[in-house]
Amino acid sequence: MFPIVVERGSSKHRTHMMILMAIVLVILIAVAFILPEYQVGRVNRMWAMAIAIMGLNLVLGYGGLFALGHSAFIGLGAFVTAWLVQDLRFDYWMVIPFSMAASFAFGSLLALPALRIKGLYLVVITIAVAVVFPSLAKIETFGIAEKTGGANGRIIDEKVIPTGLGKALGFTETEPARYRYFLIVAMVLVVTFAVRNLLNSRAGRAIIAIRDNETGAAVSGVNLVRQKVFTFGTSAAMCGLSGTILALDKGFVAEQDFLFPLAVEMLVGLVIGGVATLGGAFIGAFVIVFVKEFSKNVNIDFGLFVLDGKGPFSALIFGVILVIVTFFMPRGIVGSLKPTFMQRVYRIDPKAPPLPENLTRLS
Amino acid sequence: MTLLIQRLLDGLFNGSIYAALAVAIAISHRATGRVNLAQGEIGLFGGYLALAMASPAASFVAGAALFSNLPGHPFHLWISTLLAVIVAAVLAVALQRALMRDFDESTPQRALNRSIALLICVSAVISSQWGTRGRIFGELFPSGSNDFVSVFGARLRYTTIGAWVVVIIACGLVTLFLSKTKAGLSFRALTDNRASSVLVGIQPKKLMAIGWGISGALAALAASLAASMSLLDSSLMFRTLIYSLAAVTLGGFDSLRGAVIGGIIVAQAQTLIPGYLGLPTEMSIVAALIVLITVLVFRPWGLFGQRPVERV
Repeated sequence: MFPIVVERGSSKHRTHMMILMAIVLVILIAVAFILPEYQVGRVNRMWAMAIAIMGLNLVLGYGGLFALGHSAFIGLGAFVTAWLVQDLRFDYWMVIPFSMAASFAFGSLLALPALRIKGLYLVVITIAVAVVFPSLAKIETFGIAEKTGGANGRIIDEKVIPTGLGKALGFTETEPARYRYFLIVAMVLVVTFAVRNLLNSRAGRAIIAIRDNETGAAVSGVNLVRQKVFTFGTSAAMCGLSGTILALDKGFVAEQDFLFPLAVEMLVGLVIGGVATLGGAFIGAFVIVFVKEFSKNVNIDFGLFVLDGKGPFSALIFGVILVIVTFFMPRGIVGSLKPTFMQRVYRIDPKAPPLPENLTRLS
Repeated sequence: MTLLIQRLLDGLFNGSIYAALAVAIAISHRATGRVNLAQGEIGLFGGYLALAMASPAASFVAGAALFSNLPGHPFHLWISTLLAVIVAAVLAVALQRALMRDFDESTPQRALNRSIALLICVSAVISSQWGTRGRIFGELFPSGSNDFVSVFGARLRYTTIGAWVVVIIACGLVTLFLSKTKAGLSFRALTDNRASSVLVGIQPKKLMAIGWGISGALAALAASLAASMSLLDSSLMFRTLIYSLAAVTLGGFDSLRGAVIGGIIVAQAQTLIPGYLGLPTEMSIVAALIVLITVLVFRPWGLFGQRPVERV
């Protein structure tokens, strides 16, 4: 029975892929209707985190640049969303290109020092950016604090509720999270396929080549400057999209939501799921959101030592998970299990090259 | 002019703390080749221990009751600080042995991940144990309104002088250890050439633990000094860590002298740039970041570091 062996690109392989995609789609749709409304809201947050983690993965996993400042990009996306929707009265879907563009620009800007600064130094600078960003959102100059809501946060009163087509499809205004779920899942699918195709494209190969050997990549004709700026920018843009989703889904932005711990959470999610794997982002996002929800209701009293669910507890669990994963599963869940799965259960063999004409087949 | 001198002198106090933590980071980096992002939190744990030891058992400080059976409790603040420094060193060694021992040249990301895990774990333990609000630590040096030396009309406070004296003594001891003892010699050899020093019989495991111990002690000292000036709160050392990382990066990661000078530069940038540009105090970290990026773009290996040479 196992392993099932297929040839890459054969009709059998394609059929299997179609079946797999159909199953995934059915599950995605089923989740929205099985879970109660408030749970769907959490799942929405999970999707947003998954997009952000995929963005981080692009820089950290595939690009090999250890950057820890991605909470700033999420925050920028969220603040741009709040500003455009509240002050300039944009429709929510029109915000997306702008928040992505803003984050892309910010990310590209951060990539400029990254061109010269590597390794540890880049870690330091990106941590500093993540720490600086929330206080930047609070400063009074240029009216930034008014636009972002400053220390108090800002309510986005444009609600994403079903209109026109959404209503025609049977969504009701009393269950907006379920409606948003489908919009978000559509975006997640688009982003996932975009990243997958990017990694298989010339640009993606260049990103990985730079990670593996920068000098070698440069010698092979990769434009380091352009490629690094592009990687950072794309990664930031994905985080910006995630920020927009988070802001619109919650209906509220505040700088406290984009502190350094958010960047750590993204890193934890990425490492749990598997660095430089596509599916890892989803597992990581699931673990993060699940642990945070679970730890909200925890209150353990060890007598000497009290743990409550206010935040320290989830941080403690994240820390312990991160230690365990780095010890026993350094490549993450997907990174460790996928090779075994592809060997034992479902094997894709490369297509055999055609034999030269003047050779006769042996045997 | 007086204002300039006053700002320079005010910056000096922060400079001493950044210098202490920066030296701690540099030492553990020399020992393991990895930056320890949890350095500040280990120090902060020491700071809270000092507070617990110096508080009477009936106070609201968690852990104070633990030490109430020891003779002479509550201790004088200086004694409890020294004890806490020792405990922090032991804790750092234990953490190094438990979590960071499987050092591997090929996995820098994994070591960083683990130090981040340590950072959030220790931070979570501290904030769940001692809460997030600031606590009065007490005075390590006289800090009344008249306790200052006048320098060209500006006030050089005793706390600043005292902090620098402590930091210089601590750094002097570390330098003595590195230059006069056998362990210090092998420590320097290890930094210089890891592969060769292992071949001549130096045990990196022992030295890595020693490095972490020294850096844990220095970090606890930095936390106590910082807390004696303001309040002890759970985010105190994370803020300091950012500035100290900037300082140690400026100094070039391995150089102790560079770390101290980097600490002074960062602290001065933090006071002077927002002061003269009229920016709010929250922007002081931006000033540090700007100095950091500027230096790194022109000297990516820091002011005192060695230029890395890579063989292709």
